[in-house]
Amino acid sequence: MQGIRHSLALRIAMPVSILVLALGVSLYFLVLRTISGFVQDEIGRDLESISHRMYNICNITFDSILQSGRGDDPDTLVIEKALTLGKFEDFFREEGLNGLVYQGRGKELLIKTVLPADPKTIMMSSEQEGALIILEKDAKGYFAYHFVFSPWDWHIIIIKSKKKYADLVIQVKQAHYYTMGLLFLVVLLLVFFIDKTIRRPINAIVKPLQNGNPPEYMGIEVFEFLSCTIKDMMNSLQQSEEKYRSLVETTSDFVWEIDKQGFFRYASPTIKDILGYTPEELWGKHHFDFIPPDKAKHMSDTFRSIADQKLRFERMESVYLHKNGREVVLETSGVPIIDAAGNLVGYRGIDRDITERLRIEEDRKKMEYQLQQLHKLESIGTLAGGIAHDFNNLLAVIMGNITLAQEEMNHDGDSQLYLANAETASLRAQELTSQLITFSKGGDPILGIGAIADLVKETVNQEILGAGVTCKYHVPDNLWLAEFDIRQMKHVLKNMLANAVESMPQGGKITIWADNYEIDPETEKTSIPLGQGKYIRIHIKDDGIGIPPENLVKIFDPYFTTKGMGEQKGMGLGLAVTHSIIARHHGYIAVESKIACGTTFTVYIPTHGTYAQEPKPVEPVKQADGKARPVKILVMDDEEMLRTLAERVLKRIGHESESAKDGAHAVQLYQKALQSGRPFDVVILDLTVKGGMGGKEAIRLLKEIDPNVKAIVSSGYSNDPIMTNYQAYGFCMVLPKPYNTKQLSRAIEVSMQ
Amino acid sequence: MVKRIRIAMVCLLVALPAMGEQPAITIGVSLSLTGKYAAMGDMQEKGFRLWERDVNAQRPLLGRNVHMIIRDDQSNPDVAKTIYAELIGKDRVDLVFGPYSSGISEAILPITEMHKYPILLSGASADELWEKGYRYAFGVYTPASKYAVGFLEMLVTKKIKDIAIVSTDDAFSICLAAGTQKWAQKFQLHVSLFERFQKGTSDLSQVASRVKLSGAKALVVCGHMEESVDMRRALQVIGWFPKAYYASVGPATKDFYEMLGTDANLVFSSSQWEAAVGVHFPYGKQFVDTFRDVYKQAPSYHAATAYAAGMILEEALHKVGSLNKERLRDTLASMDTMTVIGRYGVDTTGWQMRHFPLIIQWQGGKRRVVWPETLKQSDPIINE
Repeated sequence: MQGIRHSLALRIAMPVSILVLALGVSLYFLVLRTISGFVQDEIGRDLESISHRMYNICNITFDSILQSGRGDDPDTLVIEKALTLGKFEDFFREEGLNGLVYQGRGKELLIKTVLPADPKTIMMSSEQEGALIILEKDAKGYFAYHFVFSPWDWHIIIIKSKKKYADLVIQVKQAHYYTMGLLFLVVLLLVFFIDKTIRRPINAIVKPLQNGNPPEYMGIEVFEFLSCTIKDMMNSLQQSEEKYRSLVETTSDFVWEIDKQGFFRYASPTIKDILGYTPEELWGKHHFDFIPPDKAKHMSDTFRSIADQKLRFERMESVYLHKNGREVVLETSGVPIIDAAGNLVGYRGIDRDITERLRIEEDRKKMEYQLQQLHKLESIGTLAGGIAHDFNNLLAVIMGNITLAQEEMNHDGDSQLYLANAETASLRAQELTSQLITFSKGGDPILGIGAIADLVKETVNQEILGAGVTCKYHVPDNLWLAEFDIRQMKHVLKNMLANAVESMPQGGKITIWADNYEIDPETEKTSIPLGQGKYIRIHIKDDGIGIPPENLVKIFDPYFTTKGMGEQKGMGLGLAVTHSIIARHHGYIAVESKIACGTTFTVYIPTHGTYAQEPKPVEPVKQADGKARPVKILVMDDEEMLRTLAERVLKRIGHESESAKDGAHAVQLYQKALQSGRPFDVVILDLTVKGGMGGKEAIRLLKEIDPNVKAIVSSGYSNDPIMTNYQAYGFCMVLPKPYNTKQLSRAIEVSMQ
Repeated sequence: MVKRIRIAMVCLLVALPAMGEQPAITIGVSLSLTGKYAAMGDMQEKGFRLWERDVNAQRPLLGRNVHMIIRDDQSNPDVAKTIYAELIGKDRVDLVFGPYSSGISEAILPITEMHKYPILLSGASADELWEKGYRYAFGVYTPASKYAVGFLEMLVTKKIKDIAIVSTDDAFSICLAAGTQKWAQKFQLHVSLFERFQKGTSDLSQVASRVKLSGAKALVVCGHMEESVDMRRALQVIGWFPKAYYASVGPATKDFYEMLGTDANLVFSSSQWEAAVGVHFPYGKQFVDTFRDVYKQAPSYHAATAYAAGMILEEALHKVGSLNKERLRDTLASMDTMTVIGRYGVDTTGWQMRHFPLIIQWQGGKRRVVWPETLKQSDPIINE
């Protein structure tokens, strides 16, 4: 029915038909009314005419009586009246009439049979002379007409059946039927005309459209124009749609359309790449179906408030679930789809996968933060480094003098204790200086290839001894060799262990394990900001109090500490230095912590993936009596106190030495000794000389003089490239300042090998 | 002139063989040649045959001869029905005429009506025949209800106010009685007795006695020959004779006098035609003369009505110009023409309304026209 109600033919034909029919019906009733009135008038005139003829019958008879001179003869009157009644009877019969003749109103003279009603009733009802009376009996209609022949006081009523006028009525009805038929024919013709000139052309245009094809109507000009226009529009639209479809389907973004309730009506194929679903899998699904349940409520509220106001939105971040369960962050922009009535019917928009971008941004932020921290530290380090050279020289003098004093003074009494404390303080000062320098340029690691497993074991044994904690560690023997600064790496391990111990004041367990770890971004997505390569991974886990989340992000900040100031505590440089060292080793340190469950530090150290070989033992330069073999040593340092101290220390451990104030002096002395036939066995060159030739230039000249020269570079700037890469400059050993006797002695021993 | 005569002769020579080749128009009719209506039937047969003779000799119908097929229905309606069924169905006559008497006519009309054969009823006058809605039946002479009008008028002039009306129970008689009663009212006469008796009742003395006792001064008997004779005899039996005795139908023939002798005198009756009056109508004198030449007797009105029916048909066919029955029917329904018995004209039901009857009285052994005044042969005689 709905389908019929909305058909084009009905919509076109119905108003026309109704209009024409209404016109026809109006005309019909108008004509009927007119005709009916006309018929009644005609009947009235007809009956009046009949009455005149009947009157004439009476009149002629009456006149003939008068003219015969027998007007007073009662027999003649009786006879003539009777004959007149007979004539009436014949007249009624001939005319097909009924009728009554009364003498006055009481005496019945003639009653023609088949009357429509009781004669007296008719007589009484026809009081008015000359009036047309309508009578009904047995559903039959009659017309009556009353007139009086006064000379005889005859009341004559002519009664005529309506059927007598049937022909007239039939003719009128036929006229009506013809009119109606004509109207119907007009309607049919009109409908046919409309059908041919409007409906069919429209159908010829609409039907192909319903099948999705362009119309090809040819015929009536205006419809042909419409057809061509629609066809052009469709072609244009198709081209445009293809263009936009290709854009939509080739873009890396997800283009979508949802209805008012949020159900997908369109999804571009890119969704397969972004969420793992095909577009078909999305059809009929609600977009909240793809949002993690814990976020759906918030998203629903947000989207509803936007949809209620029919707003557009841009770059709204939403978390969706990939088909494989992974969370994907999409950046969504959408515009409302509004119908002609201004109602919201849905939304259309575009989603961009920003998961990777966010990760990169987060990493970048971390890096920036780390860089920022590094810069902060470096600025501090630069400041420290600026004074480190002199400070180290001073410390070297102090420590050397303390050593000399300890050797010369009596071992009894408190003097030795005081000297020992002074030496310890000097070592702490040296360590602090070293940490500060680490933040400066001079903090670059002095790399050497070695087995870090040994260092780990050694450091653990040293650091947790007596700390009241147990240690369980698993360090396999097949760890790769690592390239690291042993002193800095030891510092790293010490710091992490110290933190672990301190987090378990009541004691506890430290678990340490290490393994080989390889990063391949092609096969594995990792949040570790390290490039492809091989690493040694060291985990140090405690079951201590844990670190609050708000502190976790700050623990690598310099001077950030939750400890009080004092000995071993409160400096706030431990983990910052640790982080800096690892970074300078091109590694990475990560921390995970949970309150009351403990903290885990994980260190990634780059490696070449080679395994350790049996190291050759270092043979000390010793004589048969156990003392060090005497060696002739040239010490070059611009600091006189250090030169003096070095000579005293070397002399004390049995070596012969000379000193030079700068590089030029050293070269001169070395050349002189060489020419004398007693060359120096080892040369210790200060790297930096104020106002004179430094170690770098001096070694170059010495190599020219003696390619086999054995030289040790010494400097308070451990971040100097020469210190970290001393062999490339021709040195055979490095001796960072300050150093003690033991360190000096070992450096000489190594360089002599 | 000679040339014209030659051309006319050539045309005649050409036309004559052609005319002779055309079949005759067959017209069928059933008449009561035997039985109770034999006298009237005989006259009607003679009337039809005479018309057939005249037409074929003088004025062929549509240029064709007429062949009348006349069969005897023995005054029996059932026989008549069979005859008409055969005439139409078997003999396939072109046209038919009506039988004698209203009763037999009533029996055969459904057949002619069914076959749409127009039929002129030259032997029937009961009004009810035209009240049944037949379209193809047309009256030739005055309907029964108007038979006695002239007699009643005459009673008025003779100052006779009280009348008795008795009738048999056949259709014609009933109509006649009812019509007479109505007319008596119109003439302001007092109907002292109105009674019906069974047809075939031969002894009407008791009826006659009741008439006498009613105080009637005039008696109207509605019936046929038998009733008119029987009533006259009954009056003789009771020894009483009214001032005026009227009997329908029977007294109009000479048989009435032959049966009653002088007792027939003073009896009034109606006649649809009388030779004395009929001679004043077109072909009237020719009809009477020819009838006497051919049959050596005077025609009664029954013969005249039969001949008149032929004339009406002749005129109608002339107007139609073919044997088309529907057009013939329409022509008969609307035609106004003169015949040997007077004027022909019917109303929409086929009821004859133009013809008027005569009142006759046996006077001195002769039938005399006593009404209407202008056509009377002698004054009516009242029994004092």
